[in-house]
Formats: sequence, C-alpha cells, structure tokens
Amino acid sequence: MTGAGEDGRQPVPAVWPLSMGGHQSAPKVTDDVVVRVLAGLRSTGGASGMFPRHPSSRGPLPRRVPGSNPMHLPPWAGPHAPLPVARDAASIAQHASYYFRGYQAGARVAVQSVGTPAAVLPSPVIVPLPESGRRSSRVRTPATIASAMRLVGVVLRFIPEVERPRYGEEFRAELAELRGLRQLAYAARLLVSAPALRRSLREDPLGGKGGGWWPFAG
Amino acid sequence: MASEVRMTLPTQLVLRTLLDRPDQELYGLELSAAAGLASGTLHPILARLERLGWLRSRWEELDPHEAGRPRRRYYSLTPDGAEKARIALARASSSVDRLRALRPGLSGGSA
Repeated sequence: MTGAGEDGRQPVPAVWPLSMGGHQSAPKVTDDVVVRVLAGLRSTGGASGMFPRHPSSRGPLPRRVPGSNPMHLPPWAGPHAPLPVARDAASIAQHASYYFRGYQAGARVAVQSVGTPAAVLPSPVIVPLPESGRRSSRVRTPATIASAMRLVGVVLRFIPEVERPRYGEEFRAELAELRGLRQLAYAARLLVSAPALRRSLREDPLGGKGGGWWPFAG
Repeated sequence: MASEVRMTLPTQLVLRTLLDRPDQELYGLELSAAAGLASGTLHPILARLERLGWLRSRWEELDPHEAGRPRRRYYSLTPDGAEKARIALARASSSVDRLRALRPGLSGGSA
C-alpha cells in the first residue's frame, strides 16, 4: 500500500486493485466495463464515501462486549440507530413460533395451488422428545405426510380436472385422520385405484361404452 | 343388459353398510372401515353410485381453518337409491343362493 499524502489522506491509487478470491490483481484492459467503473470511482476519489478516508487498522479493534453495540454511530443516526443485540432464550423461543406458522401458511398455499382454497393440510404432529435431561416438545412434520401428499397429488392428476378440488379436499380430510405409515398406505391404495376412479368419473355408470367391468358390468 | 347393474361384492358391502344405517351419513374412511373395504376400493364405487343417483353427498359444515382440518365428504343413500339398492341386493343374494344350490362346496360348506 502507498503511504499517506501530504494532507494526511490516503492517496487514491491510479488503478484500483481487484480482489478476486483473496488474490489481488490488476484489472484486465479488455474488460472495458470494469475499467470504466473504476475510472468513475477514481474521479470521485475519497469523497464518494465508498472508500474509507482513514485506514481502519490504525488503532486496535474495538473490544466486543455482548449486549452492547461497540459501533460508534454518527449523530444523524438518531432514532434509526440499531438496538443492541439481545440473545435471551425466551425471546428467541417466542419468535421461533413464526417458523411453524410459516409451515401452515405454506401448506395452505400448496393446497390452493391444487385448486381447493378452503382446504388445509394436516397439522404438524407434535412429537414429545424422549425422556432426557431437557423436557420439552417440538413440532415435527414427518416425511410420511409429505410423501402421502405427493401420492394424493398424483391421484388427482388421474381424475378429471373438474373433480380435482372436491376429491383433493376429500382425500386430505381422510388423510388428516391417519397417522404415520397409515397415511402412506392410504395414499398408496388411492394411487392403485386411481384408474378405476377415473373410469367411474368419466364413463357411463351403467357400463355403457366398454367400461362396465368395475365396479359394475352391464 | 346395460340398464341392469351387476353388483360386485365390494359394491354389495357398501350398499349393505349404508342400508344398515339409514339415518346416518358416513364419510369415506368411516364407510370403508364399516364395510371392511380398503380406502382405495371405496371411492370408485361411491363415484359410480353417486352418478347413478343412488347416493348423495355433502360437505361437512365446518370452517377448515378453525377446525384445523379439511372438511369431510358425507355420503348417504337417496330414498330412490335405497329402494333400488334393496332390490339389487336381493337379486344378487338370490343369484348367490342359486350358485350355492348348484355347487354346495363353493361357499365353504352347507349352511
């Protein structure tokens, strides 16, 4: 680095070095855009505020005290100054509930994308942790729910589009009453019988045109 | 014949379950448990019977967001459907009886 100028300011280098992955190198002449940007920065000098007028490593770094903000704020910051960081477990736990609300909101969006605005997904299963030193409960969304919902989505693609909202909500209501692997088994059975459901919804119920073998035959 | 309905065993089970509970509406999971059928088997049958007009269905009167679960779809026999179901079941059982008379060992022994 070059030394300080006559007025004590850091002189502006003729060509700003580029830092790429920790390695500094001069900009390539062929990169016209970069050269122009650097030329613009150079013309503004230190007055632009993008570069420090004084090297930050002049004195020892401020000692970080947990709970207090060591940053010296300008007087104009006023009420916009950031509050000191508080890391207490109760506050974090209180705000973590938004994470689970986010799950439910996301689930509603997923249902609406299928076409049933009034439906909701099954609520997350509350699974208590095993007995240990820390007694608490946590909300867990088992992978079986997600897998079962994916299977139901496949089933809905089999049936006519006009029937999808109705059967989507109906299947989800029944899925919500089951737990664990029963949800997956239920969805798998629906998938197996999806072609039969499709035929039942599309063809003559009295078995008119070649589709009367299930569950009736004409 | 296209105008007649040949009843499979699962269809008979569904109709018998609904006829046994004339004043009760059942949703899919409840109906499949009562009839002893797998959930996948039930819905195609219900769809056919509903298209025939033998069944009617309605949504549960419930706010899903308040209840935290989707609404159920309840099924019940229409008066006309109940009458036709009785006739169809009687015809189906007489066919089984005739079959039993012809081949006594078919159904697992004499009753």
